[in-house]
Amino acid sequence: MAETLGTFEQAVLLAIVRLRDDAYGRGIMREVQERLERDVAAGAIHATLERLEEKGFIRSKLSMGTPIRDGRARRFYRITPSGVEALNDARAAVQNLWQGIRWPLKGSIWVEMK
Amino acid sequence: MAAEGIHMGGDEVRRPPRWADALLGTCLNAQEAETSSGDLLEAYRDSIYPLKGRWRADFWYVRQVVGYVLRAKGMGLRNWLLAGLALCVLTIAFSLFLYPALFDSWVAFVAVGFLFYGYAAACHTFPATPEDAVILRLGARYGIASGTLWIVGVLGLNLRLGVWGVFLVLLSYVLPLMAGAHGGVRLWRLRAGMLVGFWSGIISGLIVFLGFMAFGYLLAFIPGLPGAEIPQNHPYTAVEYQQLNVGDTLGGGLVQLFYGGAFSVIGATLGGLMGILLVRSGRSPEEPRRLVW
Repeated sequence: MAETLGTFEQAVLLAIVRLRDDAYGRGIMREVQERLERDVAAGAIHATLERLEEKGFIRSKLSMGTPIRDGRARRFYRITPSGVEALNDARAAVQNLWQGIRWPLKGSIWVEMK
Repeated sequence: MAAEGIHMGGDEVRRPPRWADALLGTCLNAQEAETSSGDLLEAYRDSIYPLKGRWRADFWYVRQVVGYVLRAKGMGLRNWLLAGLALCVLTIAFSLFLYPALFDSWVAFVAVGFLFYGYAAACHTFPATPEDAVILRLGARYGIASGTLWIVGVLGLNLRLGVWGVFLVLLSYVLPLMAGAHGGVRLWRLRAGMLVGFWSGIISGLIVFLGFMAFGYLLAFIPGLPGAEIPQNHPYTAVEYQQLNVGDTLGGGLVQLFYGGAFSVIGATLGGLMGILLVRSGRSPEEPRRLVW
């Protein structure tokens, strides 16, 4: 089994999968914010991308900038086979945890302890 | 690769604060700084500025840059502490250079104190266990809170804020007790409470010392500010006035840095003991009751 992924790491990896050829810092940040439905700090995305690259789950390459960013370079990311394996393991682990439990949980399962 | 700023509607150039970009450049390597500032600039121009307007967009940009700085590699507690200690030493050296009459035997004691703090910061800030990480995190939080409260309280007293200033200063004295209780109860060890107090003491001491010195130089060079000390001998020279105010805040800052640190350790150990005893008294006989160092 590959190294365990945290929730935020999964969100960033899935954003890269969804964005395909358009997966660079700004696009990933927007995608993660939309999926998690909350504001996300650009520094948090950057630190997570750096960590995922160190673990070998993603690769990156530099590309030319655009006028809106004053020509500053963009770094594009792509998921690696070990990143795909880590995502599959994370999904399987959650499915195992929920196996046999009907979702969404109902309030009636709460029984007061004495 | 950077080019001139573009015009976004009319003649207005939407450009975030340049100093924030410069700050980003200090904590990232050149390539990372370029791609990261490009991402921020793109977000700033395509959605933040149109939605929030200039001032709030600038604030957003600065907040993002601060987020990068705080998360940057190598900007852990160790480097913050070493940087803070280095800044303190430089401030003292600068003050002694400007006012050699302040030089006295206290410098030797202060040097020993700085060596001890430097050793602790350099060698004991890498958490070896999850408990160590909790201790360092709690110490940093309580230290920042305590130092900030003290500075704001003392400034408040100087600016005649009265009861609010007193309240904030008193609260900063109570915080080491709370820090020790929090650490002690969280990890169920007296030693944890004491260590939280130790780190909290260093961090709050550094904040207070640097804040004091900044205030001292303001008092020295802007005569007439509330809280300034006036030399007893009349007439006095400008240098005597400056030396008295810098020397006064230097003394206060050093007392807070070293005696404050010792007070924080003692307070946190007592707080940890009280917290553990209080929680233990509410537990059933089956649960752990032994007091652990």
